Amino acid sequence: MNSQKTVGAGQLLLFLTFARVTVSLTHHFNTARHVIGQADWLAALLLPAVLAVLVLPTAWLLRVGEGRTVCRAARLLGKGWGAIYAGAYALLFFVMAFAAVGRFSFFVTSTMQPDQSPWFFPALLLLPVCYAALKGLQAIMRAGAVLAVMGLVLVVFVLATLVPRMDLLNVYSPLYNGWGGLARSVAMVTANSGVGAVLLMVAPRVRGRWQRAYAGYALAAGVAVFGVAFTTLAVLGGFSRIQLFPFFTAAGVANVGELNNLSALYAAAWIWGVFVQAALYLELCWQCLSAFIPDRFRTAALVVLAALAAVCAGLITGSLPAARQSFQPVGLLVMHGVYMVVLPLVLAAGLQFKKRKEAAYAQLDASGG
Amino acid sequence: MADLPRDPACTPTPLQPDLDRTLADLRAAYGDSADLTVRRLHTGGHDFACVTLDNMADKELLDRLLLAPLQNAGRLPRDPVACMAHVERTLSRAPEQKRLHRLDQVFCQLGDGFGVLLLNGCSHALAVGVQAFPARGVEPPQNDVMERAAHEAFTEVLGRNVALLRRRVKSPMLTVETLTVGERSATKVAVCYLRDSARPETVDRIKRRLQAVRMDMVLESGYLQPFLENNAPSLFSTVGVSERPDTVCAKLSEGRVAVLTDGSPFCLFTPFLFVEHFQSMDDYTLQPAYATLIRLLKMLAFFLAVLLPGLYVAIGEHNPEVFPGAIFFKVIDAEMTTPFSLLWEALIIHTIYEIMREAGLRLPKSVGHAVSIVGALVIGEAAVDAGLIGAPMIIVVAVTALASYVIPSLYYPAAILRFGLIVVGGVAGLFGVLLGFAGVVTAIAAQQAYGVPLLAPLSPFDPAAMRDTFWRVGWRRLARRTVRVQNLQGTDEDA
Repeated sequence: MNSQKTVGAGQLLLFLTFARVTVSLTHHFNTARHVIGQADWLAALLLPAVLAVLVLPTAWLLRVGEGRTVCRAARLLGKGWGAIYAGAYALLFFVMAFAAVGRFSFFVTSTMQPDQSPWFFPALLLLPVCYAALKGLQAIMRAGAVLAVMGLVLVVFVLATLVPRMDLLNVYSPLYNGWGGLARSVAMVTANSGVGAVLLMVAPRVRGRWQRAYAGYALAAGVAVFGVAFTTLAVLGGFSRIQLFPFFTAAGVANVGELNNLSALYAAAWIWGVFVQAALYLELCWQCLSAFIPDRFRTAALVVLAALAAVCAGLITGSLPAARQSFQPVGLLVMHGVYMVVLPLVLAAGLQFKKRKEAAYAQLDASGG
Repeated sequence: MADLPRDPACTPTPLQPDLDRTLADLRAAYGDSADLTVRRLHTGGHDFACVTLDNMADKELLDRLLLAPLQNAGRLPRDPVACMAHVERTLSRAPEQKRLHRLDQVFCQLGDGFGVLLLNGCSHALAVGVQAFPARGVEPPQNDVMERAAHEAFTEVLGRNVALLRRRVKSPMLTVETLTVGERSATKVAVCYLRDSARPETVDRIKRRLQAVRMDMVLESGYLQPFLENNAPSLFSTVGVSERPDTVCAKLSEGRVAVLTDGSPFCLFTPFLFVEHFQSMDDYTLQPAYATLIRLLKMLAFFLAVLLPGLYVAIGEHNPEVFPGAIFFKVIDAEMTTPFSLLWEALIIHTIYEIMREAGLRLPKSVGHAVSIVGALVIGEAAVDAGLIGAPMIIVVAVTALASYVIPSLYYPAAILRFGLIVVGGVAGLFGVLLGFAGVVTAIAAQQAYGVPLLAPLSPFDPAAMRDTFWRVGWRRLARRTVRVQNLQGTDEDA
């Protein structure tokens, strides 16, 4: 193995899938403002196609940048571009880290432990997440693969136990609210699929073909979101609309033998997902900023970043409007549109232009002009 | 404080041709120690001295192999150097002999049970192998007890341990390289590997690390283990330990390197993977289906040993709704009668259990039984009857203790993690335990043993190695190809 290629394609697939499944556990149907989210399960089936289109700018950038991460590729255009892109992506990964923690913390303090301080879980996550980020990308992806398998098994188990409680009378036509409703649902499930942005930093370090891992993720994401949305709808029906975390409610009514409450399994899958995501996003944020941080302050910088992320997550947890905002698909859609489409396209176009210019000069030199 | 004499074994001093001076140096070095035996003899026109340490060398053998032929030799070459060469080539009947040029080599060979022959006028000595030091014979293993595998374990004698490996691997590819570590103990260490299986870079790194060891005394292989591991401190070792020659031979065939230490019946081998904790020699002698069942049980036992008390405390203290209804009421009923919280109950009872275990482990067997009885009475009966500890907690401790004995090599990491997760569970509840577990997985995943990920072949996933990980396929399939440890997915060739 080349020491630069430290991430397995399978590990990338598992991370992306697990991260998307974790987000889908927070799936709730009232955000698209249509009747009990009947279009969501169809939108989930369309998700792989949307994700395939969304990755094209990333693929182009990775090709033009000859396998460099987005930060290194931007440096080819000049130091200023390098700094802008590094800062921009550091901000993205920082926001993704605290949003993941904040969402989980909000879930815990609003459902399982309402008497808990909003600062408790961000603070609790701080230490292990910081430790994992310090251990580096390779360790996170390896541990993430193990936790992902365990977490996915738990989610599938919960889904399987809900099958006997499903009632297809709860499921209406996905086009009940017309094509507009479907479009809103597609936008919502896409907005929650921002995890693809990690490719811009991780894909150059993948052994084997990252494209295969991404294709697997796109299919798995579609299946996972469909599984969660359809099962929750079929079990809870209209009741899901008034629930903050409908799948958690569904897990609470699932039972196997003497086990009458599987919400702990749901929570286990989610917290492992949050741990892996937060660690990776923080590590990527740190990587983006590494060019600006002197070596002796690198560890301290990571600790500060983690502490700041915990503070931001605590603020989300403590304020209902902030929490609502972190779940709003419009903002997420714009953010991921900018970071997954606009910025990679601009950079790829700039690199392409520079390459052509250099080739033209080279040709001119060769011809003696 | 007066200056202590400097250890001459640590200073390389050339041997002097003057026999009297050499003997004086030897006596001075040993401080006129009572067990230093010097026998002087004049034969063939030369002055000889034979030096041994009492009870380390077989004097009868020495007489038969060297002294008797020397005395019966008649005329010997006049030149002392030629005379010593003649003795070495013609007279000595010892199958093992070495030429020594330095005084520190003489100390080392005397300590190894050799007899050393010195000749006046000659600046080198002859050491002959006549070892007879007291040593245990080959006995059944004390720790790695197996149902069907061989009943032979390593002993404290290095040469005998190498022979135990050689008897099983007749291939000349088995290479044994000897190093000496420990400035005073001058302990012999054998680095064993199969030349066509082990990665040369790994062998070189292991030898370099051993040569860099700066210790006065190396009395057990455990002294060397940290030098073979990564620098970063970790609960999980990247070096395996076994007292079974058959296990070590199997490891060698998979490309690992073994390190035998003189004076220790435990062999170290590396690279060592986490999944190897769940494998044993019996797995390969029993039916594959049963071996698979045993492995899965061991994995379950490890999870129980680490997580069960922490989860019980976390759920009981913070998320009791997760308990099934019947258990919930039993736990509540038991806890109503005890003065401590579940967290304190768990900490107290686990501390008592660890103390009892330590006591039982180091005591003679007869007293050990008494400790067991006291433990059972104190913990099992009195604590519950007095209402100090809830009965469910006793069951949790008992299950945890049993589970932790299933994988002895993971007992110590599991014990430390158990205490940590009990505290985390009591303070932060279920989420704390789950996060702690994620942290443990990360700590294991971050480690590499000579470039091989500790978590391989699980992550990075290696499908080819799966046939002997969670399950074991039959020998017909397993024998088709040996998976070398350095060929596992994710191995860093630059490491």
